[in-house]
Amino acid sequence: MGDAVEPIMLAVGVLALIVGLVIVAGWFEDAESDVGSQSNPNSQVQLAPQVGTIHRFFNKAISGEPISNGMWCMTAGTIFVALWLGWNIYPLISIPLSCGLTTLFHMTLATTAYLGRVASQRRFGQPIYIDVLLSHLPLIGAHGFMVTLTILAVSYITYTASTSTIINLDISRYIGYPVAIPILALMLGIISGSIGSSTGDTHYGGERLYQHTVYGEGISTKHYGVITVKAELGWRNSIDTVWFCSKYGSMMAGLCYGLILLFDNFRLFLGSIYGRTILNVGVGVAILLMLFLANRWIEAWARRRFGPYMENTGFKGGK
Amino acid sequence: MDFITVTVILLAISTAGVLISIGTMLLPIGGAPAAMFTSTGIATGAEMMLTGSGITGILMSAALFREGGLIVMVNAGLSSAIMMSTVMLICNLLAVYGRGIPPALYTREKDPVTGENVKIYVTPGTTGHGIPTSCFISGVIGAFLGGFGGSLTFIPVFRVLMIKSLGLTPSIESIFSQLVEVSGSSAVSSIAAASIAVLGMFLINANITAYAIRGVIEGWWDPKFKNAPRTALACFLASMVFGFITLLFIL
Amino acid sequence: MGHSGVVAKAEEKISIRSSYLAALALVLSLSGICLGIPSIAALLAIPSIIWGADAVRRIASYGLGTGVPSIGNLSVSIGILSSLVGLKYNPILGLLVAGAAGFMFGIITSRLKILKIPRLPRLITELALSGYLTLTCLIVGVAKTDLLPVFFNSLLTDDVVKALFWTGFIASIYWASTLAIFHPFNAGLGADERQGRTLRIAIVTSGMAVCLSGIVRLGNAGILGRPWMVYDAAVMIIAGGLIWVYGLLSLYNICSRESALTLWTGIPGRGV
Repeated sequence: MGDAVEPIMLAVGVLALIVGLVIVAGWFEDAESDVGSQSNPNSQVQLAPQVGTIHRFFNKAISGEPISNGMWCMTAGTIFVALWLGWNIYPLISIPLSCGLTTLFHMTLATTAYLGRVASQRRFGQPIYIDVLLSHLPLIGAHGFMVTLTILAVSYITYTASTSTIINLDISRYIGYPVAIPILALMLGIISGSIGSSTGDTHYGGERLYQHTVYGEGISTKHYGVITVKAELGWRNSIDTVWFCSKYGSMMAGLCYGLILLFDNFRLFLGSIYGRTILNVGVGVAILLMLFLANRWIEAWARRRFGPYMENTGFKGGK
Repeated sequence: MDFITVTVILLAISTAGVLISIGTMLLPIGGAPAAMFTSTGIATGAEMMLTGSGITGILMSAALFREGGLIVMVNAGLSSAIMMSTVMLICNLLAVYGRGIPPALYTREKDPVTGENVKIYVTPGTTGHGIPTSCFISGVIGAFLGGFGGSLTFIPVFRVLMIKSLGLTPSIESIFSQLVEVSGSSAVSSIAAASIAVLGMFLINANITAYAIRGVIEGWWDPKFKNAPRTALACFLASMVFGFITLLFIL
Repeated sequence: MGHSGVVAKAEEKISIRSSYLAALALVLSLSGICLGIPSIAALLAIPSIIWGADAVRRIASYGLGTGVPSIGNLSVSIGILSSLVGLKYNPILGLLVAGAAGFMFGIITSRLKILKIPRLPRLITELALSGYLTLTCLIVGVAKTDLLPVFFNSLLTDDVVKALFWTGFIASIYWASTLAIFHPFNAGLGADERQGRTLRIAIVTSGMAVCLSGIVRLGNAGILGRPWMVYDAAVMIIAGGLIWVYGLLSLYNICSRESALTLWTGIPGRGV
């Protein structure tokens, strides 16, 4: 098999696999931050009891998403390297095992955040709901498991591609990062967190958390804290949130991460095939120009189609 | 190692700190309010966004570890810029199709680059939303500077450790030129140590700049950008202290 | 989230005095490093983590404007490089470098008016020192292969380089310590924040950090081919796990007592 397949074909296949895995990683990363209400929109969930809106959301305030995602992916990478390099346990078994053990760390930090934050809101009257805690924790762990599984798989593939051989072929010229696996998983986790935080969180904070305000305008500061607490049936919790946001916001976050790794590795590919690193620079500038033009088109289209802000439209919206 | 090489490395690390600081101030950051479409820019903290985009540049530097000097730094800057522009494009897509809002600035009546009137598109009660064209350009330049600065720290630290592990003495030419054929597996320890140093650099400089920004900044025309010289001086001095400690370790 | 500007701190009730925590952490952690027994050194990282969490609490309650994790990241970044210097030359030298670097950072940040917090140099020095002590204790726990005491010699042998850098485990110790130091105050942030609850969260995160270090040592035992490292690793994993579980249970007890209401389920505004 090693004679019939050229290294370039194998590298193209590895690239396609990496981009697919990373799209799933970005998707689940933003979904995990929605189900636990982490990072930027969490400031509204934190503010709500202070203005009198008692809610049933999960208030997971660990830190910004890049740092906490780096933590889970790094923990999974650490346990994986300890098992794989230390005790020679086959990667197909040690990858899921390390991701499973990481969910214990993840769920512990989520629990401490919820208990600590709600206990410090004693004077506003927000109760600790034990059923919210116990029903959201397995979901948080499951989404974190998917993120760490895919990112760890990508780290393992790129590390092996750059330092040793895959199916007896040496593709280290074309693809791969020669960074040790815990550090590589940490870096990929930080990138995933910053992408999910900047893109997917706007769908959660801007649309789902304030669904009762009028569509088509930003949320002015007079609405701050008065979040939507009634759901399609009953009272809203974070499981309803992730049901909604995983359809658009999380998908765009995954697409973003996949596009970034695709562009980067495509540039590396072209430069290595022709042996000139200056080609990387040329392709990079071309990609930047393409993205700039796409952004300009979207901005001009939206301004032309939606028009300037009109007051007194008469829409009130429900609560 | 002679005195000139040590000084060059120390200057490189200090300059990298200045570049990272200016890069952070150029990024269009909206902070927590931007997640609710209450301010222009990207909906995350300044230090987080710079660390995310800078690390994309470091991955590219690690992949190109055999090449020399300037071309690696430009490539790393381009990687960070591509990451930032993809993120900004998707942010705009989410604003337009997720919530039905056109991008708009707040601190100026007309867009500084295209000259269009943007005040009419701003929702009252907010300070802008989305990422207009001038914020996009500011973000691309800022991310490029951040990636360039990160790579400027990564290359000297990595090369000194690598050359010492090969048994030779480091000099300025060997640090910034192409490396003789080295396999990936022998470079792993040096890349690991250099990555920790670069992570430290990003976190320190971006955090000091984030304290000076205090939440929201739109680009080079924002009034908060007047703090840039003072912040760049603080980051220069802090990076010099950090570079001194790094030199103690790698020599 | 933090608010900008300097806020006058009201009289608050604290459970343990901060100078007492600082003295305890310095003495215990330094003796743990110099004694050289890996499992004891890793367990003596816990007072440093608690001291660091208390320092974060004191500095972040003035309002940083950008959130608590930023100050934790800044100080532990100073700590990790000083820790590597201390590894290469001498642990006491590393301690002095960490203190000096933290003090200079504080002077730079307050003189150039980046952050207007009273006594900033002293607070950042405390954070940098606690970060250095945590990291060095955990590194001794993870990578030391023998049981000899360490006073003025360097720890950086070939084995240690392989165990920390080639495997990439240095990043694990770094990031786990960062999260262990700044998470307690961030998780307990609020109008009714109390030092006793915050330090209990610090017990949970320090148990997690020690448990993770135990797993790292287990991996190093296999990679370096020295099976007698497994005994220390087992002690670290079991002790870390017990501290972790104890911390969680005591945190749950105290939070359910001190929150407004603790209910199994209910509709907001209508009680049970």
